[in-house]
Amino acid sequence: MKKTKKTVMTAALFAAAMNLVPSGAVEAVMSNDDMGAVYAADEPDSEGVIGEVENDFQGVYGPPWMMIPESQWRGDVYEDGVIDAYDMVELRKKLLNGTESDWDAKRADVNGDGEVGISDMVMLQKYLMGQIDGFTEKAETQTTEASSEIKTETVTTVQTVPVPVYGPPSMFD
Amino acid sequence: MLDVNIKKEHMKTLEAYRAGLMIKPQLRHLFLELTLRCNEKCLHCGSSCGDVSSEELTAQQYAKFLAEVKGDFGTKDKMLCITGGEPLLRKDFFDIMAAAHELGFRWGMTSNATLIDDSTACELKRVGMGTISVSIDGLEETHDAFRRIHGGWQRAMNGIESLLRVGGFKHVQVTTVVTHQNIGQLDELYKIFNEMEIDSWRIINIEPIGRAKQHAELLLTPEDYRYMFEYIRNKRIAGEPVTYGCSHYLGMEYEREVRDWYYLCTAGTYIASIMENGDITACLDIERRPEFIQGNILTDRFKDVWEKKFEIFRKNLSEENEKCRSCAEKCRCHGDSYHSWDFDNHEPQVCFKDILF
Repeated sequence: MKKTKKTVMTAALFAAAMNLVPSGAVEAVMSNDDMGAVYAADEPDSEGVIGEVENDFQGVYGPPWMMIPESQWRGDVYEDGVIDAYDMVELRKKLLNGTESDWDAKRADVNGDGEVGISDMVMLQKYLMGQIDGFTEKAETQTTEASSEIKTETVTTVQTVPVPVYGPPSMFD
Repeated sequence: MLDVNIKKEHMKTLEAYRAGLMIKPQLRHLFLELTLRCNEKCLHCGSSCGDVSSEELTAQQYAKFLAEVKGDFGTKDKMLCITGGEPLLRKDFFDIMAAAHELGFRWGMTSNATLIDDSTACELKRVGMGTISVSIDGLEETHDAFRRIHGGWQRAMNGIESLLRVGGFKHVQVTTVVTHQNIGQLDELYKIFNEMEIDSWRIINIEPIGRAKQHAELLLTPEDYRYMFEYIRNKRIAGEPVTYGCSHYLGMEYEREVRDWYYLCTAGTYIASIMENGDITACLDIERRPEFIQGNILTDRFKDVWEKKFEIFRKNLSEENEKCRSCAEKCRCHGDSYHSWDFDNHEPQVCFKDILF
């Protein structure tokens, strides 16, 4: 059977709960009482399995994306709870390498058109430069009119991930 | 055991989310029961499939229906779940799924895999199959006896090997229905599956529905249930891609530990199903009673049925009897899975209270 990042993270979560990992890592995983903070990255530079777990906890162990307000996850490609230059770097990687899951694709689909493409990078850049204050279609339209020199044609699409027929529904991804 | 306080917070969030779903459902999984015909006659079959008459829709009717669904709902975040009977018994199977694929639907299938060889696997890839769940219900002798087909186990295993050899599918899953007779074989099955490059192993309990109602000797005992859930949890602790299914509220001890999220029956809120004759219902595992047929795609527009009917599936079953009403877990369980509700006596046929919690 295939071991995946998800199964390794599941094992790590159990290990953390059973105090089978170094104390620092346990605290990073279990010390905060806020749901998002508990499962989000504490030290992005951590190495090894637990480090990997921290970076992906929100997506794997947090609530399904559809239960979280869009404003809290759209554009947060790096998945650290804030939208900054790290998200631009991460989005560029997704464009080149593809997304790994539904949740991954949702966060990277900045303009909400169902695809991950150059237009998402354009919108994210505008946001970071303060030209728009959110990722709504209205904001995109307004800015496109104001900055007609920016091309928004989508050149790359990324298929979202189907789930097993009788496996967990996509909200469990 | 994972942190109980975190679990409680998650379940509280989920409860509020579920309340919203009841008011504003989101179609996500559309099951298509392509046929009731099957080359196996499983003792546990929820649909009592096999040598039965099957009033099947034509490929053209499916193409027209799916185009209508695409027009009304789009294909984004939608998944077609193809089931039966054995879907591959239909001679026009690849015509139907090619049309769905061309329309842009993602789709997956449940199959006994006995009709899959390398050539069929290539065809499945061509028409866009993303995922498949294949039933293996025990070691060879047990599987064949349970599914009442000689040589079925070997053909199913060959089918899985073909799928893995051809490759290119997003997820190849094996599903095992655990009974009182095969529960002792889980370890040996694990050794077999662990040597294969499957993506996951889904372990579910036999349900007291369909033909299984006539085979009480197959139903799990409380000890069996506890063994099964502990077995799944231990595999997940070891980092294995083993999971329980989406059914049943398991209590604080096992919720989130044997699957990746918490119990939520989405029949009628995420899930709608089209029976082989075009009848519209919520989940195909729900007992087939006339009141659950909400319409027919040959005479009704599916969107209207989804939006204006389905009330029967969007309620709290736990309000229908005093035992559930007074249960401390009703806000998490809601009367448990719709498919295992006893609609004559208004009580759940599967309840893990006093077994798991």
